[in-house]
Amino acid sequence: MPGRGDPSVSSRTLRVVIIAWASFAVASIATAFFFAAFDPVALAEAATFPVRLGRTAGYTLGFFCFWLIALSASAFSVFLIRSMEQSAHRPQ
Amino acid sequence: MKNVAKPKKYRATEDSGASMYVAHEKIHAREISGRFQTLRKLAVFVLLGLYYFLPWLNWNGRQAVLFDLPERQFHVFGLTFWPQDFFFLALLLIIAALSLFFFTALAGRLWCGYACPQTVWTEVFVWMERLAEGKRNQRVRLDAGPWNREKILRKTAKHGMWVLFALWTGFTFVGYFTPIETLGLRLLDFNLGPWEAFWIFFYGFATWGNAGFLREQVCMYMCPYARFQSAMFDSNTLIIAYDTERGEPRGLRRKAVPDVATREKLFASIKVEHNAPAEAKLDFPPPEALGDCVDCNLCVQVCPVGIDIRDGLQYECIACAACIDACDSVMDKMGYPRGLIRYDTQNGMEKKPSRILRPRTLIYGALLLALMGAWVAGVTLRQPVAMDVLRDRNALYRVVNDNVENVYTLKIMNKGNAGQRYRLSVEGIDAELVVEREAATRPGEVLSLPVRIQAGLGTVAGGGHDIAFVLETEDGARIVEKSRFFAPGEMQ
Ligand code: SF4
Ligand code: SF4
Repeated sequence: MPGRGDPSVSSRTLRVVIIAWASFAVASIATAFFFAAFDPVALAEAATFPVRLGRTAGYTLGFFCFWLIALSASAFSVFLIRSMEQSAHRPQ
Repeated sequence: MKNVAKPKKYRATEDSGASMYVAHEKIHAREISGRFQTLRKLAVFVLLGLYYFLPWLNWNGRQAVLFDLPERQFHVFGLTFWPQDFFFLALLLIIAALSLFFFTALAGRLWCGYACPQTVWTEVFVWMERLAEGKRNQRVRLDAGPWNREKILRKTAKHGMWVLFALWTGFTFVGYFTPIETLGLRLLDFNLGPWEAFWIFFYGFATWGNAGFLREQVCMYMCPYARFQSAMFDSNTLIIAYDTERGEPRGLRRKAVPDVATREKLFASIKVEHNAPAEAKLDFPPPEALGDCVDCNLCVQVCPVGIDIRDGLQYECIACAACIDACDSVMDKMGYPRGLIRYDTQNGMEKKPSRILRPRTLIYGALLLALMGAWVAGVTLRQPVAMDVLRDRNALYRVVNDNVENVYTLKIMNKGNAGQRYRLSVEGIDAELVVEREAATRPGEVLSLPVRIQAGLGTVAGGGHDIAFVLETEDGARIVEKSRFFAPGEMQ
């Protein structure tokens, strides 16, 4: 039957894809909420360092920042959980 | 004895990460036509038609559906939403989630089979694949064969169609967020902004990857809904199921062998008449020795996620109903009644009555109606103007030439589609309101208006007073915002 077979080595790839995808979804929602409240142009004006930023650029940049943050948290969690499980499975 | 197939374990529940994922082999689903596939094609046409057409539709001289991010305003036909209306968007998302629950409880994974963008775009990509590479057997042969001229040509044709379609999809997507007509003109001019170009490619790439390559893997490994939908299922939920009772024991047979129900009648009548073992008289296997499944495996071959529905309900099943159409076509050929695989409830399969009205659907339904009512009411009763009052943070009051004076900033937000002028007044105190500038706004503008309230020293008692700012628009809307006024006196 297609798609059924031995366990594959690509569970690592799968983990990466899942981490990237889950943080992408969270970042999209965070971006929507954040920029509903704040205008990127106004934010750029209020920054403590000089920035010139259009709105579209601001949204995009914001989105990727959120993605990066979510990605780190997501990957960190997976790392901790995996290493916990691995040490639990180690024969005593 | 009926030999019932063992249901397969949910792979997602197996413990360690490594055993959850199985080596992915490309699934070559066999094409099938039938009632439900026609219905699904219709859904694809309607949904994708809407998606690609909607941004080109104009309404009152403006793009009808435009989530204008650069201008920070959303237009949906006659309605305009500002960032301040974000609440309505959030509510809309909650309503969407709740309707998903409601329909899942009622009819299982209807969403997956007919409306999910993943399914819908995959349909189109599969259709293009067939156009370029032919039917299932041809595709399998092509994939296994060497890279000859034909293979290169066919693969190029497929990827060419995929890439063009994906780019058009990305372009349409961006067209929902920035006016599509000018976007199109800029595209023809090769004059796209860097971010617009980026998002067109990004969305196009996502479409191409998800619908062209990942396909059922999105449903199996990435979709949260696929994981939790079973929590909304009960024995009255409409699912796609194989009638084990009727189908098993499965097996090949001569074409002349009638279906189980007919054979049951035949055997029963012969037993009564001749009082002898029925097998002796009839040239057919008895019903308990052979069910209605002819074991042709067609239902497995058409399945886009590569499962065997005869093993029972599995979370991979996206309820596309391809197996129903496949099996029905086999039943037709055999002259058996349709519906060995069918839409039915667990209760229906067990020949118990199914109920549509039950606490779960009633609660979801009532919640859904209430939220939708609230949304419509909220949107129609929306004030075209909003006001906030901020007191001056630096001083409670000032004394200027025998007058005590408090300073405020009014934030006036015009949420309508036309310019507005306002009349301002103050209530709750005998004092004069001094407005520095004209109180007028353009549509969508947030006006920061400094105002002062002045009262003669001694005409107001010392301490704090409750006051209210009143704003009236020319078309009669009236907004009242409370604040405080302070005067020197006892409080010191
Ligand atoms: S078992 Fe396969 S073919 Fe049948 S409905 Fe589910 S996904 Fe579709
Ligand atoms: S298509 Fe119908 S008859 Fe054929 S194997 Fe599947 S269930 Fe059995």
